[in-house]
Amino acid sequence: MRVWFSIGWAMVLSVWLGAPAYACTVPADWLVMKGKEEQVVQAAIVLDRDKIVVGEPFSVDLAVCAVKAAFDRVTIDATMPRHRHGMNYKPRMTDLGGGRYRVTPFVFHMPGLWRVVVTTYGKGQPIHLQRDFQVK
Amino acid sequence: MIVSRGFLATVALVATMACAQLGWAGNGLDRLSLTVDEVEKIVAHGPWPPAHKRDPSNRVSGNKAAIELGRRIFFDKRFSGDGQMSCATCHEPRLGWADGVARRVTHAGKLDRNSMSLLDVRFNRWFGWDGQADNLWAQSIRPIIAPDEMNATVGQVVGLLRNDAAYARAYAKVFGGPPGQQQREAILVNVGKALAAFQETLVSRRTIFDDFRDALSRKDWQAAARYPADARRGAQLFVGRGRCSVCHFGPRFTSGEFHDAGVPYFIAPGKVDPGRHKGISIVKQSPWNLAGRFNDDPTKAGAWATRQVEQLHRNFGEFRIPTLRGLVATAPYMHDGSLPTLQRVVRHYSEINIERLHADGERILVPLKLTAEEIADMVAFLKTLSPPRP
Repeated sequence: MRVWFSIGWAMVLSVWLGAPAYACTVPADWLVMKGKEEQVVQAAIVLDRDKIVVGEPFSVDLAVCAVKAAFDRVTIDATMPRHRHGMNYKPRMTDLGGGRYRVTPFVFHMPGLWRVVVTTYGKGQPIHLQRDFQVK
Repeated sequence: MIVSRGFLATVALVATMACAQLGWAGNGLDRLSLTVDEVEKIVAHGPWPPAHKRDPSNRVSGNKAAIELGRRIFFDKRFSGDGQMSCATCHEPRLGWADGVARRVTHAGKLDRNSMSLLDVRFNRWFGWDGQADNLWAQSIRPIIAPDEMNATVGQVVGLLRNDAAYARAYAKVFGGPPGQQQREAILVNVGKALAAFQETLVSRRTIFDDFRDALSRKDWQAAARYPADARRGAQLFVGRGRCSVCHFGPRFTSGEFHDAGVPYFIAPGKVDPGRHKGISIVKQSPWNLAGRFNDDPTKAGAWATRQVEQLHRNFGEFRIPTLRGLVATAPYMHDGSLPTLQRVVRHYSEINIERLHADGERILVPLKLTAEEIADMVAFLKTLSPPRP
């Protein structure tokens, strides 16, 4: 009886400690976001840089998956690091479920280097993942 | 094997023709002293003119009768409080649809800002130096009823449309019913829409820069070589070290957005011009913005910009980046008309004091430290963005 009780508690603990906020996988053909903690949280976006027109709105699809740490909030934004400014328009995120989001409108209002940053917020420090795009 | 001279000459000729067909960069570009990257950036400033699309928010956009009605209203001084001003007072055709003065003096005193040219206004997303309107018909209404500009009342505007028989007939033809049967606000908005339809016809003509740009685009180096050498050097500065094309981007030579160009925003002692910061407040609250009921587009597709634009601290003192087309006719320059010539504008950017820039640490502008020859080249280039006088 004592053995079964211990096994039961072990199963509960393993589920509680191992379960991520989103049990999902980042699509293999999406653009993976990079950062120091890319093994803790994975994020990837669909952004066709050939279809980006400076000054025109476009949508970004985002997938975020917890690998080693759960999170309860996600944000995405873009800046021009050399110019030290961000976008002029605040995009809206629509939660599609399963760690997937549709974000619109993104507007890159200048040509040059744009840095897209995905940030997840959980119990610890926010985790930032990024990817750079050269826009002509 | 002995190869004849004639055979070698034939091979050389065929190879040269093949290279010419392929537009081999090293051939023509060497003569033009342009790099492949410079050609790409110059080509991005065209083609001109862009394709014309009707404005879906204005159901009479492109309508000939509306254009004519708008044209008559545009030049009619009876649409002002004292009967002394029309839209054409500040937007005169022979002055590039601007007015040739730094800041217009009206019955209320000196206005705060320079009159912008109306050329190519149909391509804007935002209107006015501060972007306080997100469509052309709302922007057209504003100065008519502004107390310091034309100072007409809504009643006066509506009365003209209702009581002047010619206007009443023209209005009914355009809007499907006499003004006497419509609400005052609807009539006012329709006046704006007729004015917008007229202003949409004001598109700047092609220039020698456009010929140069098109020649580069099709790799016709011989045709491109006809562009004046000083203007070409100026174009290289514009897209290269000057980084002007970062803000003055694309065929219209403007991104249409807003920046601090280092021009002081103090209007008078104790009075500042908040620029874009206040413009965002105004457009979001306007009953005539694209999110509102007067937008004729049922999808309100254009409303995303007003809904999603963020009012940021850095917007204070930012002003809309104007087009550089047609500049020769629209002196003086900048939002306050403080720079009288193109030479002064280029010198401004050459000597800009970045400590005076206030846009929250944004770093786009740097003093270019141009030589006198480079300034002359840049001015020569800017002048080629204006069509030759007819």
